[in-house]
Amino acid sequence: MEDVIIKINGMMCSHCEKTVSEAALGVKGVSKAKADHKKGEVKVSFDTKVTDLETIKSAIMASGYKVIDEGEACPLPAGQPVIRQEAKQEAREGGLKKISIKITGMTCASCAQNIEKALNNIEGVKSASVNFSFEKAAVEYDPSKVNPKTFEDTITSLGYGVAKSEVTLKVGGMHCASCAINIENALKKTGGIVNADVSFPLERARIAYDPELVSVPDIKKTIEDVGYTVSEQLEKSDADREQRAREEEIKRQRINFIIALILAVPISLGDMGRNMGWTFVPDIFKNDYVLFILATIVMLFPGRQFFEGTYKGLRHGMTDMNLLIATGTGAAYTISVAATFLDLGEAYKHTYYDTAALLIMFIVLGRYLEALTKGRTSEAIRKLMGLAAKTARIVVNGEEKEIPVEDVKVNDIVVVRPGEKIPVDGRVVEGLTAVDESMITGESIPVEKTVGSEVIGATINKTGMIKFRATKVGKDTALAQIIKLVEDAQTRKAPIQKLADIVAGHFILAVHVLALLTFFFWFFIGFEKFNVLTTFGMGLTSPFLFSLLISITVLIISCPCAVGLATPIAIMVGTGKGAENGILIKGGEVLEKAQKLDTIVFDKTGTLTKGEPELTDVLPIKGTENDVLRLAAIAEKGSEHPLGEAILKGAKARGIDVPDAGEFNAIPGRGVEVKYGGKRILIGTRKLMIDNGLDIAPLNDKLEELEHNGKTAMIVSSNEEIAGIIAVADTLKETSAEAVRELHAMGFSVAMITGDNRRTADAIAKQVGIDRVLSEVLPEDKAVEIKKLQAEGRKVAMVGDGINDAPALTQSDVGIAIGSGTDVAIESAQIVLIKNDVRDAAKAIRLSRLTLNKIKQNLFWAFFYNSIGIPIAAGILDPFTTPPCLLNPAIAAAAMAASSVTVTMNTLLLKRVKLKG
Amino acid sequence: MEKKLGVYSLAASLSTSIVIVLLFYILALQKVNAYPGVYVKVDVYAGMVYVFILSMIVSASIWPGIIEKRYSVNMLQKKVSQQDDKENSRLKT
Repeated sequence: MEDVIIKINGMMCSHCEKTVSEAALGVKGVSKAKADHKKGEVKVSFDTKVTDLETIKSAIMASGYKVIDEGEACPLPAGQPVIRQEAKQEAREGGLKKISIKITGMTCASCAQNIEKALNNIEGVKSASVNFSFEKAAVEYDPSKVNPKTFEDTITSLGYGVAKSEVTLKVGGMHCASCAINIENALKKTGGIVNADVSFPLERARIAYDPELVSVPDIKKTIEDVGYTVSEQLEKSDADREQRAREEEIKRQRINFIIALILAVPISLGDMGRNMGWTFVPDIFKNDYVLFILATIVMLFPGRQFFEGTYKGLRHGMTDMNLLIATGTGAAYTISVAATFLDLGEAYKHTYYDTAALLIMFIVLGRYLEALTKGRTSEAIRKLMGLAAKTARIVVNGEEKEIPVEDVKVNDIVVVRPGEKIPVDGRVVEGLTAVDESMITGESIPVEKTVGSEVIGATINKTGMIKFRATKVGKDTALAQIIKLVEDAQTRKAPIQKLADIVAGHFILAVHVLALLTFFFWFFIGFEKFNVLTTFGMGLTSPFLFSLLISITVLIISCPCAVGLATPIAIMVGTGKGAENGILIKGGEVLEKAQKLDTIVFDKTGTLTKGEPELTDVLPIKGTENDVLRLAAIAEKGSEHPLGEAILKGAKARGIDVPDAGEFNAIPGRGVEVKYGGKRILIGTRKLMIDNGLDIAPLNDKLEELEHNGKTAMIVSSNEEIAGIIAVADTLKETSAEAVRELHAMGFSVAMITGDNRRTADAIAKQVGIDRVLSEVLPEDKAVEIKKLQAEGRKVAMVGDGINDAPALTQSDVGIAIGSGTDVAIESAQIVLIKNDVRDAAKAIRLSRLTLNKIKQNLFWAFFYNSIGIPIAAGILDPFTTPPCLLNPAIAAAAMAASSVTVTMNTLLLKRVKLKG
Repeated sequence: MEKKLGVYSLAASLSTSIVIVLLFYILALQKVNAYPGVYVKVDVYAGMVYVFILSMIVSASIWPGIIEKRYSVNMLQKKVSQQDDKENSRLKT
């Protein structure tokens, strides 16, 4: 046994102490570990025959903290650097840019040298120097060859951190994916902004920035300058504010639509009635000046938003769908106004006020429906936000006082009566109750809570009154963390979405080119070649007007709204549905990775099994079962080992009285020796008995049989005589076998990874039906085993819960942490299962598949609309059909609106899908 | 410098649009001469306005990117050659 003090860097609080201690204790052979964040060290007692110092250090580093080794010149920094501000400066000089990056995790000058060397090796970097004292890297680089993201990646790949601040803002006034791209571009051009992700359906922008160079008001101004509204991201009582904003948008578009509808009807009747000779239409509506006035009202009120949007965008050199609509409606309106007030000749007697009015009416209808349906896609977040309690009752000077939930502080004693909502997270100090946690975990059966139990904010107290001490409040509560995780996931773009965004971003330009070409074709070739004068009536005697109408139709039908909506809206609904079922998916990228998985690896302890050993067998050789169990329990009473605790628990369950023993002696790796009533009691391995001169040969068969069944067998002796055998085992969760069965049915190969010996591991695997066992794997080697599976060409998901699983979760293609898992495991995973139910792993993968399929369907429909609609709008069918098949611009507007609505409605079907458990 | 790049982009966009409009005008005049009853001057003028708007939108979207890229490449080459010159003169001395 050896005692060592390991110096640790990065511990900030008692939580860190707990994490480091648990990491060390997780290593086999470590009997004691006590971390002290003030001293920055952990005291560890370990058995040198079982483990070594390096293994313990690796386990601590895997938990996210730095181990400082005095003999080492440059300690290896681990992940999770302390976030500090990044300083970045830009200087344009001869096309080169200068950037200063704040680095975390450097511990000596050679760290700085390492980073400097790596940065200088990047192509496009002219010079890079790293200052250890200031923790800054100054890089001069060519922006056409390399971007700051590469520097960040390089630094983090070396094991250091790049610090930056992040803000999430609520953006209003976006109408399509192009708007989101425009805002992203404007933000990225702003000095001091490192990265910007703007989500159109979520109406949210997540910005990584340098607070020394740019402030949040500056960022907001940048967004406003491009023509959008912006407000600080929802901190609290966001549900109401977001709901209000959405309702306002719905109301605005509804009023716009009603005005457009009321005016478009008489305009259309008048304009068309005049051309078609409809006598039922009153003459007043056929008057050009009346039509002009009505159409002008449509353009000025419901149509103004498109022209305003275009103007604001063009001022910053940006184009979006507003430009398409403004060009189309503006052209139809302008030519009609010219025809009304100028004498342009016989061919120009015709006006197109109806076209302009109907276009605006249909597009506003589309926006109205989109606003309605978009609200439903973010329902999950709203529901989660709505779960939070508004007030809490705390005990002040012995009296209960009701206060807003925001004012509850850590350590306040909170009183909750039956039927009330638990306002914040905490630990019960008084009372007994059952709590409905279904809103957070999805678990429908109420969970019993007694003194010492943890309670989660937003859950409902069902039966008894309890008092609890608040442990997490505000942004730290489980609910707030879940909301943040889901929001982050919804803002993060999937690779497939980035592709769709690029297409949508270039689409506007492509459409204008197409509209120009279409105009040229019909003006110079089509009008004469396809004999438009004779085949068309309706006053279309001007080649310009005819070509213009076709060109407008192309502009209108090509709006890339549906393409831009296809992916983010599916991710929103998918992740939202996951959150409702206790499955947190961290972003769109995971969905794509989950689609490709073929192997699922389960950690054994705590994931497939309950993680707590239970007494399973007592085989007496001398005396009764209870005698043997009593002896074993006496011996283990002083032990803190989980196996000892299981024996003690088993004895208590059988009502056996367990007195205290004297002279407790733990023999590491072998067992325990105690003196009781003048007798010497031993409990432990074969080796312990052999070392004490006991013959265990007659027990071998029984011991092997127990071990073959995955149990840990221990021999009990009293006064140098074998008394019996005790077996304990970490029992399987009730749902493990079902989870494996489901995954098999889905076509996955299922493996189990464990540190247990082959025989025990095989026995467990057999019980649950696992086909591949990775046994005798040291905690730090789990990631290596995952790597080996990946080297076989497999796409691997790792399901685990412990600190030691964190590296393996990171190494796997998709890391799945179960909710009972540690913070580190949850941090390392890409999918988090809130419930402690392994069946949710299959559910999560199923949901990922469903969501990705929905994205694909949406993209298909979006591209289908455009690829069919654009050629028809351009008049491709005209030469081959009689009468000629040409799309009216108003029909094009209706089709365009329909495409966005179709995509949204198709996505909403995902909400109806039941994730079978 | 950015202001200068903006002026270049505007000039390039205007030039491109004017060339396209002129092309339209020349071709349209031929049509007016060939089919006097069908194509009239108003068609040509209205068409020119429409073509100018569309081509301005297209070229104003394309040129700024091209000019900015060109500018940074040129400046980089200039910088590199300046450094080479400095290095050469240092070696000579």
